[in-house]
Amino acid sequence: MYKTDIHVNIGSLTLKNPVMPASGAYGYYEDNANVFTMDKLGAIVVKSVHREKREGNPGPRIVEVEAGMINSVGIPSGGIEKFIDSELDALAKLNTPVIISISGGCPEDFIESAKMLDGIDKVGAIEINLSCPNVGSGLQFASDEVLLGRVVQGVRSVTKHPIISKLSPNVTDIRKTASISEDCGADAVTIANTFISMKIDIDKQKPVLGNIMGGLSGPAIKPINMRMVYQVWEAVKIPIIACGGITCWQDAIEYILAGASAVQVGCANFVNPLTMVEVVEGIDNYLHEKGCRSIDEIRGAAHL
Amino acid sequence: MYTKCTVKENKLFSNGFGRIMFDAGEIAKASTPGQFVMVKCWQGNVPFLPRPFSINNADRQNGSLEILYKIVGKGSKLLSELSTGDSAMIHGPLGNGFVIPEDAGRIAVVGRGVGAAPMLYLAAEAIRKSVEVYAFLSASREDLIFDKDKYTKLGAKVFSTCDNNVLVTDYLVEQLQDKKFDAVYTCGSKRLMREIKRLKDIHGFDAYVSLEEHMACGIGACKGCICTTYKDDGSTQYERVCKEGPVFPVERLVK
Repeated sequence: MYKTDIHVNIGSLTLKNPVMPASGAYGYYEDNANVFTMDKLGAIVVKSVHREKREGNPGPRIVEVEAGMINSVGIPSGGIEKFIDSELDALAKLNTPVIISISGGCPEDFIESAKMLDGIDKVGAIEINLSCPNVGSGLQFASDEVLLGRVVQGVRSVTKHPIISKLSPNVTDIRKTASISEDCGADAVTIANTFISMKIDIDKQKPVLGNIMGGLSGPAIKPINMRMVYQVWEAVKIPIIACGGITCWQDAIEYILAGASAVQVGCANFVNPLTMVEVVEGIDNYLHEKGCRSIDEIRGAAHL
Repeated sequence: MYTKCTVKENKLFSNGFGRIMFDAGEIAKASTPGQFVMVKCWQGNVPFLPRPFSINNADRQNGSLEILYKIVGKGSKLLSELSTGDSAMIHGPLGNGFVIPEDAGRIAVVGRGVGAAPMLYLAAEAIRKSVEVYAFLSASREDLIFDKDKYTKLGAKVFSTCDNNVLVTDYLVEQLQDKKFDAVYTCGSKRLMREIKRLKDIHGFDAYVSLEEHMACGIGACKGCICTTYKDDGSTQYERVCKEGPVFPVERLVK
């Protein structure tokens, strides 16, 4: 079905192509535009499932900024038990691997959720959301090296599923948190979640978002995440899933050249619901036109 | 549906408002009153997000779809600059529209300014179903009462006011003295919403409100456009304006 070999491996999980939604941009997949079938994607990544039930943050939850948006949605979730009971079956019928993003308020939350998901064969992999800027006090596990290590190691010890550590860009040196993730048993890292940011209404003279601060995503952050993917490629051996500002296949290729194995598309899905299938097709065409047989031939090629 | 649609006509009024008609094909044909569309009519990433617009009117036979808009920011400014033959990406029809009770004989639509935009399509639909329509329209100025002639032409009875000391619902109260309304519809003005709820509690008609909110996706995925609603037991919850709405029964929004 493809002209070139664009499959990728994340631990023991094989994806037929490297494109998936970013967690949070697709709900539990059901709220999609119905403009293509989910089996066109390398994987589905669900909106983070919190350990306990959460309502999410008060509104306004989103605001547009230059070339992007800030969200303070705050992970509304029915909790992991409800998710396993009532959502997982529908996801398993989509004919593509399902990656479950988990979140929590303390390391034990992640470990308990991972334990509950272990052994369920409908689960393709677990992405540990260590970096949501919108829950709790704003503390991000991935910004604290000790907590990060505890969570990844703890999750690793209770599950055989491939685990992906979703890192925060709000750190001084993301190579460190990527290396810690690798050392603690992560099969891959997602680079990266959103940037803590805010917008102020100059008429009301107050923050626009109900939760005051939120996470910046969109094309505005792409060059920064590009640098991070480039840096992390030199620091770890595990696959990198690039996330940040991808709106077209050219953006995805750029990340793959920087070292990404796979890519996640977030808020571009809101703008053009066909983005992800266009990215898959674009990567395949690019490789074909460059005379490559496999995506492996260009991964990290930008490194000198 | 997500398709490229061509502009048939874009009429800019002198007061910073306009009405644009698209050849929207299947989107128009599938639409029902109260639904909305997401529109992006520019290239590149600035502005970043498509803009939600309620459907002012649609022709399910020829596929035309009309949007009544106010120029408020970059997105609506770009929309206002489109000419006949230009195109835009339109995603829709989205959300849950107005419910017209099956046995309805008479309904009232109540709206203020450009917020009343979706009411015209509803009035047209109701009249097609041989339901009698009363339209109660208000605004701060006469030129901000939109579609008055269109309602009249459809055969609706129109009541309007620009007097800020008069509640347009006072005209509805007068009509309620000797007429039964099966349903009343309004837009997101808090004052109108509360008044309609009060009248509903007295007269027992069905009442629906169409809300507006900033949106990113329009399909429920981003969970950005929430409103607070009341459950049957009186407790509150967040619901998405785009997915569970934009039309809500008034009792879910006002206690």
